[in-house]
Amino acid sequence: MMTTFLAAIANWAAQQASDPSFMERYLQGLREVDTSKFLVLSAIIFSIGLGGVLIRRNIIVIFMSIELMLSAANLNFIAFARYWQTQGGLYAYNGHVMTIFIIVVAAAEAALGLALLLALYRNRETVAADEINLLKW
Amino acid sequence: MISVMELVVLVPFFPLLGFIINGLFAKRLGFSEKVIGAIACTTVAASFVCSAIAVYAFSHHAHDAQVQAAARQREAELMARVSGEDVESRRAKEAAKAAENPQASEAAPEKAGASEEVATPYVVTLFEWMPGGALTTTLGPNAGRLADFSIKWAYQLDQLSGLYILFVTFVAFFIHLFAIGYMHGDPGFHRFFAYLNLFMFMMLNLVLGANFLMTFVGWEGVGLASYLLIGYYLKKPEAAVAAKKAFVMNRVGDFGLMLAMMAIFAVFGTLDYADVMVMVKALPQEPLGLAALSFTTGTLTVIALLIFLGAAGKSAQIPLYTWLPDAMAGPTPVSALIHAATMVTAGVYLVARCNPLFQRAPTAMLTVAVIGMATAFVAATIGITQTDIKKALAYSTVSQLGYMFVGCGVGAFVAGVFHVVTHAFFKAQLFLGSGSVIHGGSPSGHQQEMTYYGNFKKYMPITFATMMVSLFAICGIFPFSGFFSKDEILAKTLHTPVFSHDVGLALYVVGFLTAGVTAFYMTRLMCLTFFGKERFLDGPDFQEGHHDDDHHAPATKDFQPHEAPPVMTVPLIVLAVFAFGAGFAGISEELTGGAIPNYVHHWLSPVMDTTLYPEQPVTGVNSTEWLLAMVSVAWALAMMGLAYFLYVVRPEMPDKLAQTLRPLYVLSARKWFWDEFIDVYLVGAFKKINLGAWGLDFVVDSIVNLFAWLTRASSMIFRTLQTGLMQNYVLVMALGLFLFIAGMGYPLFKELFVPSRTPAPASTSPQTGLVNTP
Repeated sequence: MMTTFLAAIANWAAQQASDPSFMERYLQGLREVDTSKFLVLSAIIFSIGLGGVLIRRNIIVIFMSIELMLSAANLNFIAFARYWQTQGGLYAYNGHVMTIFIIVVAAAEAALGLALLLALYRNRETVAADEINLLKW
Repeated sequence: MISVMELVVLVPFFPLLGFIINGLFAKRLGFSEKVIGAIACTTVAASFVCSAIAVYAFSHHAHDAQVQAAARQREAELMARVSGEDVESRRAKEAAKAAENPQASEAAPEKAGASEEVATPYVVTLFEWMPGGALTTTLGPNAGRLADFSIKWAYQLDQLSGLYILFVTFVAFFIHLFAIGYMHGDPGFHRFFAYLNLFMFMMLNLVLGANFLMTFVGWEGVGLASYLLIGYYLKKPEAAVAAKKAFVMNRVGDFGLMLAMMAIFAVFGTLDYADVMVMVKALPQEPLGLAALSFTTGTLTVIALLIFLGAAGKSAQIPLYTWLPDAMAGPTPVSALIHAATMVTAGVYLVARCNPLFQRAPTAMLTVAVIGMATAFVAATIGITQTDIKKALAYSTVSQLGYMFVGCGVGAFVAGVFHVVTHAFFKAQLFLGSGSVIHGGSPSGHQQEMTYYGNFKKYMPITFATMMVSLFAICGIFPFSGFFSKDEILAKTLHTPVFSHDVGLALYVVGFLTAGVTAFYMTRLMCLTFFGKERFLDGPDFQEGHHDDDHHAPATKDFQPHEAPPVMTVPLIVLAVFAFGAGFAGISEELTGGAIPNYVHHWLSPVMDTTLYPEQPVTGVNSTEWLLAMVSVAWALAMMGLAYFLYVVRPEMPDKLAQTLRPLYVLSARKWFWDEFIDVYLVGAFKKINLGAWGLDFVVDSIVNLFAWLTRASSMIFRTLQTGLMQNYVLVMALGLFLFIAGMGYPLFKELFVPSRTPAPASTSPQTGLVNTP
């Protein structure tokens, strides 16, 4: 079944590629992607990240999920920056600047967080989030 | 226009500057004693110079015709406000009265120009301290009026406060100077002078304050400074106890003063002296007797009595006088400055300041006079048996304060204030003299028992001579200052216009007796200290096994008392000069027939209300006054001679007399059992009341505890929300965020996707505001 499925896709792709206007339409599409598509993609990535933070036990994975959420935010910024650029806005580069800023902060946060995590592991011999629950009533 | 009188603002702030420098920086920067003393003295001297200039300028300002006219105008308006009639009708009434007897009105202008000067207080407002807005007055004839509760940080210069700041800063300067020598080598030198300057700041606030609340700030401030200075010797437990006692007893009086302030606002709608004292004049005099003791029939009486309760606390009158003798645990300059010359006379100041109010409350006047006289007599009798030199002087102070209150109580406010001034000089001098004696009279420099003095006149000639001057002053020997002030009080007591002649006579007789007792115990003090056998080698400093903080071995027997250094003797001499000469400023015109003007009386008369008891013009030399004066001088001299005889010529006699008159001796030595009475009956009663209050306390506490328990129980449930699991928190946060965005986003969603019934105006483009122009 898998083979037939893949074959169908290949067939469709061949048909498309053989179409002389295909490349043109592809490039056109790349140039004129609607901003909302980026936003939807960003929302999906963010949700995946949030879900990971909520349900994963391993703190390292939680970290990775956080990075996903940050990336989603970055994507949002870039999407809007691109939008403003197409509109000829004055603040066209603010999104880029913000993104680079977030990347820097995320790197710092990862370094710090992992250091904390290491210290935590040395102390408690676990990196499971649900076993770290001493700070309560 | 800036007037020279505005210098009065600086008067309190120089000592504050000294307090800040000495209190905050002297120790940190390691100032030497000379620097600290120089700062403290300079600030007080600067205060004195400023007040002298300001008062001099004020003396011209007060006589200015325009100022007088403005003050009269204001007075008429204020009085009209209280009496309910408008200014015009009041003027018309006065004009009608003048037309009725033209003779009086013809004579009036000449007199009015000369003697009927109205008070023209010069008020400098620094800032509005308590802007309270509109309130309604609730008591008195103009109840229900709207009043603006606005307390200003303002200083008021008038004849009374001017006189006070002059003698306070003057005496204080010399006491500061004396203290440099007296406190030499003390580890808390900077602390001592910082406290002294704090006291000066507060005292000047008290005197210069333009409203009751400003005075109250100073009132509490001098209480604080007094507390700090009584308890200055931190290692002496009795000093700490005495400081606490002084503070607590003063609180009783302050409570009365606070109630008085509230009542004054409720009646007059303001706390400014300038306004209250004028408005009072529009009110009628209240009856004499118990009927006046209610807010409906005797508003002013109740207020005056409450004010007097405050004054009795601060000025150590019965029943609140026992703190003052105990306050002698503080250093001697403190006793001279605070507990003799300045702070304790604040009560007299307040009563004199409120003289229009007191004159309309004869019940309160009688209370003041009787309490004052009783205090004067009781304290004088206690003074006879005191062996501690400072305690004897303290009882003398209490007694003299009693005299001042008698003066105020019989309507002779000027005489009362005059006695404050002369007393400030001679009593400060006596205390400083006793400081010199304590300083040089024993190896440890702390010996206060007169039983270990004797024949000091040989060793301390300057102290002896200056103290003799003050002795004559306090005994009332002509022509020393005490003679003029005390005699005027006694004469005015006999001829009081406020009460019947019998009351005046009774008060006079007690006052006359007290004057004799005063002469006796003051001479006794001098005899025990400066005459007789030398007993100082019997002191505990020379005993084996006695351990003092400073001297751990008994002193050798070659000790000789010594005179104080010049920094201490100069203040003694200056104050003695004034103790001798200050009386000439206020020679009673009854004695001279007006040949020598009574400067004090003329100076103070504008602030003293004479509408109820107009002054009788002095027609000539009054032979009765001369007789009274000569009798009282003879009486004082006789008692001085008796004391000299008993304590120098026949020194074994006093003990025998004490044996013979055992009950009287015990009564005096145990201070009329007043402390014991307070302990057993007042403190004991309050302890019993406490037991009952404990039950009430339990009920109230239970209710409060119930709420505490409810809080605790509910938190037992709700605290389980805090799981300690990080992911729980994130979940709640995410849910909250979701709800928030959903809630915020719903209207937007509706706007964008649900077609509205009314179409949006076409002019608003959806892109406006979002798009920047290229």
